[in-house]
Amino acid sequence: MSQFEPNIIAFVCNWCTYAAADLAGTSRIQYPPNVKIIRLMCSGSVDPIFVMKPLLEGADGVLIGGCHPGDCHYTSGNYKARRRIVILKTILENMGFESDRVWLRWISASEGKAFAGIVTDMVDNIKKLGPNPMKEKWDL
Amino acid sequence: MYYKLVVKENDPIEAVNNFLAGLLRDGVVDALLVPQETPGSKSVVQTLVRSEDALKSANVFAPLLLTNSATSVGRITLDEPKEKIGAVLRSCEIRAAIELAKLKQLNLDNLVIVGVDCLGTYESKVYKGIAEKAQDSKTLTLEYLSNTVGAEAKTSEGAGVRGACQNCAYPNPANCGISINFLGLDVKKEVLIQIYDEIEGLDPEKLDLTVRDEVSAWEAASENCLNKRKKSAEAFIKKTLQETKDISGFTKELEQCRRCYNCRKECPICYCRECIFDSRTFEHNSEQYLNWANRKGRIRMPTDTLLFHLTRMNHMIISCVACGQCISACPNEIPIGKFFKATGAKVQEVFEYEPGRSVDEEIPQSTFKEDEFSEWGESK
Ligand code: SF4
Ligand code: SF4
Ligand code: FES
Repeated sequence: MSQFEPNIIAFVCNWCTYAAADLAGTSRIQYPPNVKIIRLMCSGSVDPIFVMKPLLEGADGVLIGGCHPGDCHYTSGNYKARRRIVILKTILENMGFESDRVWLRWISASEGKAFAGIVTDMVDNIKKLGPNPMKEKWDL
Repeated sequence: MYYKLVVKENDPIEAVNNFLAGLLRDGVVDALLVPQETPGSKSVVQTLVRSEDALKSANVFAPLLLTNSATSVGRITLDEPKEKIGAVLRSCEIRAAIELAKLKQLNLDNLVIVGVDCLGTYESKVYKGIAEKAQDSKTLTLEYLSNTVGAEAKTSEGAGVRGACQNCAYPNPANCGISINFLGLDVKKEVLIQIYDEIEGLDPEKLDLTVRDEVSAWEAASENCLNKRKKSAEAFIKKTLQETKDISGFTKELEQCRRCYNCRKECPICYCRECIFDSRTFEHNSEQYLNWANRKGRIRMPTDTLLFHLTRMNHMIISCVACGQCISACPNEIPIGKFFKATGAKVQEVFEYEPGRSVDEEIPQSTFKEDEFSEWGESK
């Protein structure tokens, strides 16, 4: 059996985390290819429905990346995102999902290395968790 | 201030109606939203009343709540009417109204809320059954009230009130200008009226109210009821969370969901003008469906049932007042609100937020602190 390779969807903000991912690429920093990046203007525009949809479709993890507190290009998008993620993960936890499949991380434009490190960590963690059981469920 | 409203001829409904008529007569309010018995005597519905004589079949105690009227209060008050509106509401309706006010979908400015003690309401089907046997809604209500001393709500048939009501820890209304209380009192003789703020035009004397200092019977009964309900709510939440330790606890209930969206329509909190699930977002092209089916081998149609419920949860659970209307509205008796109540309690706890507690507390999603939840962007 081939080794389980997690499929991770990342919603990243244009101004920080996307730039960090870009920097990781141009600096040739190695990180696992398991992550599919979706660029948004701000972490504050990540509605929970965007996170839920891939999870229910069977994505193994969802990463939300934004600017560090105080650095959001739109001042407070990341603070609002944080509250939404707190709600989302509390719901997941209490409704019987593995809430560890959802990560929120602050990664600034200059932190290409941190981006690579976080993706590596997340992939390792999710490998331990195993495939998302939602993959097998059709009755949703 | 506490006042006694004297009940004549064993009829508290009539006494309260006279009191409410007085509010209209004295111009305390210019219009009143109040539940009334329908002509066919099978139901009790909210009515918007402009004149005293249109109050004849009002019945504020009837154990039926077809909809949470916070939505109606929002409609009536939102464009800042010049006239003063009164609204007779139960605790779950007031708490929802407070949340709607924060969501800017209800205006509290020219509104006098008249809260009523509540021991629970029946599912409409159950109510209809009882109403068919009873002489009329009035007899039914008096019967129901006669069982309330000691704060037990039972009917002669022994049929229980709605599950949401059995676990409701708010038998007394709060955040109102006036309240009508009866727990622990002999309603054949008296009803307790409380007036909280200075209300323009309200003269207790003209309304036949006499000052009352001693309300220990009401307090004791309320506390007794509250404690019982709190205990059962805690047990209920614990049991439900046990069921949802695994997602199948929720999905097996959704197996019969027919996607009518009644739960969403009846929810007083669901605040979006247009729900994303009514938009074109979920109309895909043929190839998309076929691809999806290909990936999992099969997909349920229509798609995204669980996504609908979880999205609704994410958007409004912080304000869920556990009124249970979503449960009553479901044609397939899916206890959707039980999951909102249990998980809602957890989410609300994280933010130390209690929906409906105070209009001055912002809804957690609409605000933030810089210095909070710091581990959630770093390691959680
Ligand atoms: S989700 Fe259900 S219980 Fe909660 S406020 Fe809406 S209708 Fe009431
Ligand atoms: S009311 Fe019941 S059947 Fe209709 S969408 Fe809600 S849960 Fe599903
Ligand atoms: S712009 Fe990066 S989080 Fe708002």
